[in-house]
Amino acid sequence: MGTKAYFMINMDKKFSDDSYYLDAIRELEAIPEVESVNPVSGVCDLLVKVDAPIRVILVANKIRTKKWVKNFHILNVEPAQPTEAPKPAEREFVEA
Amino acid sequence: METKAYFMIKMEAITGGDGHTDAVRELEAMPEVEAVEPVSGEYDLVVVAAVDAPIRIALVAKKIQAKNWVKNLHVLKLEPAAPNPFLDEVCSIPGGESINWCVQCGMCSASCPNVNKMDYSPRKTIALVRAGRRYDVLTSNSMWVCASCYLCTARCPKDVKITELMHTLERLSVRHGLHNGGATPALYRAFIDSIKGNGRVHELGMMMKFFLKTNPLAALKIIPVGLKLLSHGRMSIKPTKIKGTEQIKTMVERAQALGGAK
Repeated sequence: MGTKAYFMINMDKKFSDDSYYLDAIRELEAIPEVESVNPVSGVCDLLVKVDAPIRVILVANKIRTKKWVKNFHILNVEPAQPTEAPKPAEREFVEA
Repeated sequence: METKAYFMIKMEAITGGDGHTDAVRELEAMPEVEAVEPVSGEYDLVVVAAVDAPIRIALVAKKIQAKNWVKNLHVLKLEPAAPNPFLDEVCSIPGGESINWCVQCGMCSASCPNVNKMDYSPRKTIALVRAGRRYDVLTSNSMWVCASCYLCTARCPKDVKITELMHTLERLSVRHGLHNGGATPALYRAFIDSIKGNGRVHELGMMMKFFLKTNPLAALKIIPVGLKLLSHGRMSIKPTKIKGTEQIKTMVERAQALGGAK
């Protein structure tokens, strides 16, 4: 399992035309490390989830070179925290 | 209809204890929340939420904002679907709306007598339109090779008007200046002009107009055929008008206003 991360991408206004937008989504979807591409409205234009096998920055560099990228932020997903809740099997045993 | 959104949360500094874990659990307990992911960077948490029609994303955002550990929150609303302006354009032209009924069974391609001369088979053309590949479709020769035999339309199990669709694509390719039909658009224009003027085709006038617009020298090749037709009385030198030419002209102009090539 690699490192998961979210990229919040802002597109250059020059390329905000519908056809460029679709091409951008397709370009991102063609990158093997990209898990999902979500067109969003808000502080950014695209929210991309990636699963980087080695380092997130290597995937980020691939995307940074695209001409339609204005700027982007990386949010590294932290590994899951250990939970204190009993496992289902244990809970069943306690309840029994 | 379901609306989906991502909430990007910056948390207040939590010192010690299980504050962070408790915050994640609080969010996970909300019925609208699908997933919570702790992240590092500009934000601390990414929350995926989905709500159905009467509930609005803004209300969920308010609920989260009310938590005392939320410093600031940004909402990223998911756009409904990847827009496909090309499909919308095709559907908006009479004859193009049936493209949405296609189930990609391939009966049209199997029935087409000219499929081997096409860049893309009729089934593939429909798939490309649906994928929004405007340039690929409009620069192909597929619609221009269509013989309008209507075999595909007759055999289509979903009643997709494929021949009409091909004509729609012809019109769009001319409108966008991307056509790959050689001299065919010029022939169509000469034909329509002849119909508008006389109510019927005047073969000699139409062909003269066509060759003047495309390649006048090519007319030399068909002069013998023309002379034979004239001598047998199959073609007249003077155009003859039909009754109700004005009505025909009005019909053609109405069709052009609806989206036909001008």
